[in-house]
Amino acid sequence: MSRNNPDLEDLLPLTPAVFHILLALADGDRHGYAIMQEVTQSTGGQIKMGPGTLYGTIKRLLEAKLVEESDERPDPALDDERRRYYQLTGLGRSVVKAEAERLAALVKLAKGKRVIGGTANFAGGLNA
Amino acid sequence: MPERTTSKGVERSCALYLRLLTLYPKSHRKEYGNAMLQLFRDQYLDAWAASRTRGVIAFWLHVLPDLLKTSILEHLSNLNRRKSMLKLLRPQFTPLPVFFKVFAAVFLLAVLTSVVIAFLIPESFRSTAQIIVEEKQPGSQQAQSDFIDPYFLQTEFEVIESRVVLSKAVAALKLCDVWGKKFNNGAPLSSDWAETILRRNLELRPMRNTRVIEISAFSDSPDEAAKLANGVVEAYRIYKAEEARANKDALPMKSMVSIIQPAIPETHPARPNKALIVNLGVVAGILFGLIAGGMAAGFVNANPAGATRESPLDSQRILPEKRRTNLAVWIVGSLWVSLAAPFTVLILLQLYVSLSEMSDSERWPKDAVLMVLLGFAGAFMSLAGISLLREKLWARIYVGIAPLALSLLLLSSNPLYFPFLPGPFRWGIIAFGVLTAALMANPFMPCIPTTNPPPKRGLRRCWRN
Repeated sequence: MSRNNPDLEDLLPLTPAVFHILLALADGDRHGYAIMQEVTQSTGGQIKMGPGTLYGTIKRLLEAKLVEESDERPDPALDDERRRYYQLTGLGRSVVKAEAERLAALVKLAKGKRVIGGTANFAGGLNA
Repeated sequence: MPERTTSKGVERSCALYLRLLTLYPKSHRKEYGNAMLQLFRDQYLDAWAASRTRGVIAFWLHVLPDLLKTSILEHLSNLNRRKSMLKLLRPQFTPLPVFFKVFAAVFLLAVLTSVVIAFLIPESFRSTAQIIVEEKQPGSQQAQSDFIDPYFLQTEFEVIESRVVLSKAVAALKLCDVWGKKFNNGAPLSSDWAETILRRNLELRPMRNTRVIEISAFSDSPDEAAKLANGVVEAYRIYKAEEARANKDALPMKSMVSIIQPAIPETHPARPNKALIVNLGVVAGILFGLIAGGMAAGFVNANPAGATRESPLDSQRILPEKRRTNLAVWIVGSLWVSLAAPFTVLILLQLYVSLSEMSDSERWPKDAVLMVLLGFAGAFMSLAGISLLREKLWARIYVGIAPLALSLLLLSSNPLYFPFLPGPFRWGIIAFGVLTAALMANPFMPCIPTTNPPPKRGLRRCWRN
């Protein structure tokens, strides 16, 4: 359904940095360092974002209203008050879902072509 | 010891990174600088914890390209944001190039048309004979009185163009046959027809402050033009002699009508006056260019790009008001442009008359009346448009200034009407009129006031419909 939404169509496809940040926020509010840790961990260290990339991306996500600053703060004893927490908006959740569905469709297509997910016949073949 | 080294390294690295943050735009630094520094510190400590010095070096090698790349991106993003701010103002700026484009197109079209017309119109030659007519016959009782007939020359003009004189000229020159071959496939014209053609090709005018009358004839042949002028002079002389004989005044014929200069064939055509036609084309181009350009600019202003992409909510709440304002600017701007056009025409006419040999002040009253009518027509058009828009005080003052400035301009342009106005003062008034007109003609003038609130009930009804 989301594929038919022209607003979402305009935003897709997402860059890897954006997609991973949105994914990191999908299961809860996080601050910048936590987002960076989550991205590094979930990608096995393949994507390492510097402060410039992270906050530049967050700035654009805020402008596009895909994320927003969260008012809910953890216990001050457990966290630095200066940290800024971010959470997904409804639009952000729709976008990350649409992007995931788009990627899933691509994966399905690749599997249909036997590029992945079985015995592959192309050069340097994959054995998933 | 390692903890102290770490602490020193962190502080130095953070200090360096803080300095490097100045590469980012100020707004970005202000918003995210602290958060970036904090993240840098956290990542630095992670790198130190993972691989000590080697980890820190790898971390810096990762941070520096990131910093360089993202700082450039932020600056570019800021530039784009400025562009998008310009987009918001686009309705204010877009009409200007549109105005000039339309103005240039219309102007070029008018000038090209006038040039084509000037070279397509068949040439017509003019020959002029000059005569003196004695008002008082020497030796007569009339000559002994001091009475001067103010209508004498006008009466003689009517006589020259009368059937009595022209029929003699037609008969003497055999114009029925000559023009029959020319205009009627060889069949001779009737005398009435030939007289009408001859009258149409005659021009009579007095020479200022003399008793000399100029009789000019026009034809596509220079020889024929000279023959026509001399023929009419001769016919007039005969008529005057017959009239004298009828009055039993034994006055010699030549003493009544003296020929100063007979008509001779001219080498250069008198019509079309190519310079005049092209000048009129330029004036018309400016006039219609201003009107068309103003209307086109107003149309763009009234239909800003992207209006169709507004959300349904916006189209209900914002656009009616927005369109109304822009439409007001459009209508009033266009009308004021049309009001300014007579000023332009007048100034160019003034220049033309001043610079050309046709500086005959007797031509001015007719032109002045025409200009006044044009000016008031423009003013009434403005009033009509503004009353439609429910404009009140300020707009009416502006419109009121227009005919006032126009009248002052007209009156001051004719030295014969106001000889007491010195030249600089007259030109000052002209400059004032032009300046006022230019201000009023500005279709983008933001201060077209709407003292009345918009008719909400009417608009609401429109929205429902």
